[in-house]
Amino acid sequence: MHGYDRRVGRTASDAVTLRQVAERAGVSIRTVSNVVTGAVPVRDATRIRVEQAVEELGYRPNVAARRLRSGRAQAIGLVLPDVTVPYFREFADDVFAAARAHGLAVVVEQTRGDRDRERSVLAEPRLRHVDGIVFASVALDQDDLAAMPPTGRPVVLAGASAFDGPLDAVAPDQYAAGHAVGDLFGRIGRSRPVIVSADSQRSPLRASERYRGFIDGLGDHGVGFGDAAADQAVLRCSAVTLEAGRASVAAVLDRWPDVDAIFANADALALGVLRGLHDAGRRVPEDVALVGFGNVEYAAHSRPTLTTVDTSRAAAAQAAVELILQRRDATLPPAPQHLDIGFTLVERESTGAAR
Amino acid sequence: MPPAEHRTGRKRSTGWVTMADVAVRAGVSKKTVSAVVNGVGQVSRRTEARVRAAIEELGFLPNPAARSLNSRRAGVITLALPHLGSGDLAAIASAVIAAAETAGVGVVVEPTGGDPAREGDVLRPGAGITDGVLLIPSRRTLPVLPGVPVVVIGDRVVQPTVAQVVAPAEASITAAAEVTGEAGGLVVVAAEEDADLVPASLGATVVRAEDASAGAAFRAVVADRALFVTGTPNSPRVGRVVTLGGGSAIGVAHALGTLGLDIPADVRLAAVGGGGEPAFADPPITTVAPDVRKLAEIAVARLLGHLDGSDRTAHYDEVGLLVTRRASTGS
Repeated sequence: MHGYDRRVGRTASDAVTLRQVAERAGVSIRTVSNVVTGAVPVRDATRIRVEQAVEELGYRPNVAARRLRSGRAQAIGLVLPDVTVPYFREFADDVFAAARAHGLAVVVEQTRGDRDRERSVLAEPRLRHVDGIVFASVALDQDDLAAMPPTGRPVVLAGASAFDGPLDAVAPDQYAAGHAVGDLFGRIGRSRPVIVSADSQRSPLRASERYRGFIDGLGDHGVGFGDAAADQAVLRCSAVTLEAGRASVAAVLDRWPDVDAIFANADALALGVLRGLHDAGRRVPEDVALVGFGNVEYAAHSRPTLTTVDTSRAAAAQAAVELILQRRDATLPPAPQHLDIGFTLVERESTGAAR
Repeated sequence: MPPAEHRTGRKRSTGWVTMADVAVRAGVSKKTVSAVVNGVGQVSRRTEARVRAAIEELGFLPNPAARSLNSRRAGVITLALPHLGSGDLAAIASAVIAAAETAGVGVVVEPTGGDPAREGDVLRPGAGITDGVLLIPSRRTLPVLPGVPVVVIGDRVVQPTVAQVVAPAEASITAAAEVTGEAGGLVVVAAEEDADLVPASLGATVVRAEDASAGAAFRAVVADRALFVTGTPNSPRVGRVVTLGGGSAIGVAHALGTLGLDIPADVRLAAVGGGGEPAFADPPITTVAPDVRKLAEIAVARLLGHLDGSDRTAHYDEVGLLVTRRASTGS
């Protein structure tokens, strides 16, 4: 029960220092520092001696002091709904890779996609040490973002629909992506589409670039989606999860029994919808065509395989991390940067593409 | 930010419980309370017990933000794992982040790519910016150096001097094989990295995939199609498949479909681990998985116990397995 702190009688005021470790190991302070930080390779025999001294004396580097000295946390925050959601865990892996390339650690914070949590998360004490934040927001709209107090450090929105707001953002061209999906439904002769979405309940559909594009894409084929809110076939889910997608199907079939196409706003929702349609005895794509958003790995292996919009996740992650570094180093103009990272419509079996 | 003192403790109807409140209740100085809470300084066992009793009675919770100002703590721990792209690892990571959040601690997620050199970087004494490490090790994890606050999570036993929270691989794989019944040859689809975990006693044919992703499992099964469709001279046609990982199971189900095999009529399929997706596959896939929430809670508690000095024993905790039978095994 007694750790080394206690054994050596260490108190806050007489903490073991690098100097003591150096004396014990019979090396210079610089060598100890090199071993501890790993900044410079050290000969094995020396390294082992230093590590022994570190252990014997119970030396713990003062991380707070190190951060203060360097003036930088060398970490960024990644705020997302939940790493169990396929899209977000794959995006997280891409952010880790991008951060690693710049020597940055990543603190991960989960919001469960909750609006209140998203509004307050940037002030979260667990993110106090980070240089900047990549924020995969799913619940905030333009007004929420405008109302957020400045955080004093760079925040980059990733993949959010609120693209033209006050923050730096990386996203595909939402209008063009939505248009491609609407056009696809038109091309395969579907005329009674429904949107399944976890978007904010507050914003009207027309406020979303992605849906404006979708409606216009359908319109090119003479398919109407309704302009009045009451006509619009949109089912709102409470969360971006497989289960929320599955659960939405009963309501979709209840309200629009003759639905022949579903555009799910995220692959997790789409894959849940697919399960729900199976259970309801609707065939995909014969009865209902289905399109997701995000192109997660699972989308290529579902039965049937899922048509979806690939949103260049890795490019988005890289661009977001670089934006944070450029903001931190003040090499960007003050106006918010909105980077279009492109997209690809990936047609698979769920819209009738051959295997 | 208000001074640390005001942010310390838990909000109650009577206001914040502070270290000063604890000191008054225990009849000791504030410095003594601080020494106990932060695991520094010399305090007699009797005094420490009195302080801990007062902490309990008053419901005092050290605020990690305040703590890092008062001490040498960052209030952040590292979760080092091969990667986050698989549903199984993501489920553990999500539970760890949630458990740490409850404890007021942030989590740096550090993917190691299963590379022992990168694991070594995370585990070097004084590495990084965090207070301690939760490690989901790879096959080739090197012995952990003394002096690094670390708790190992997962199915691999590393070394007895390190605290571990384990869902034993052998028991999980055996349980999954049992759920698939007895008829037909048994194949285990495993990432190259994990193939050594398959117990020889099962007499299974091991199909090796590049990694635990759905795509790798799909390619491995299609490449070995003869084994599944007709059997080989050395092994009968396959009737049962166990995958290490839920992503693999989804890839295997897809591959078997393209080979014209029906699940469960031709092949019964079960996954070890799984994350959320197997329940949504067609057909839904049976899983044998550790209770990840419990796994995470124990691991975080063990690491924080190590960090605050309250318990530095190299505990070995095992968590139970949850068997969820679904249509892929004929349930």
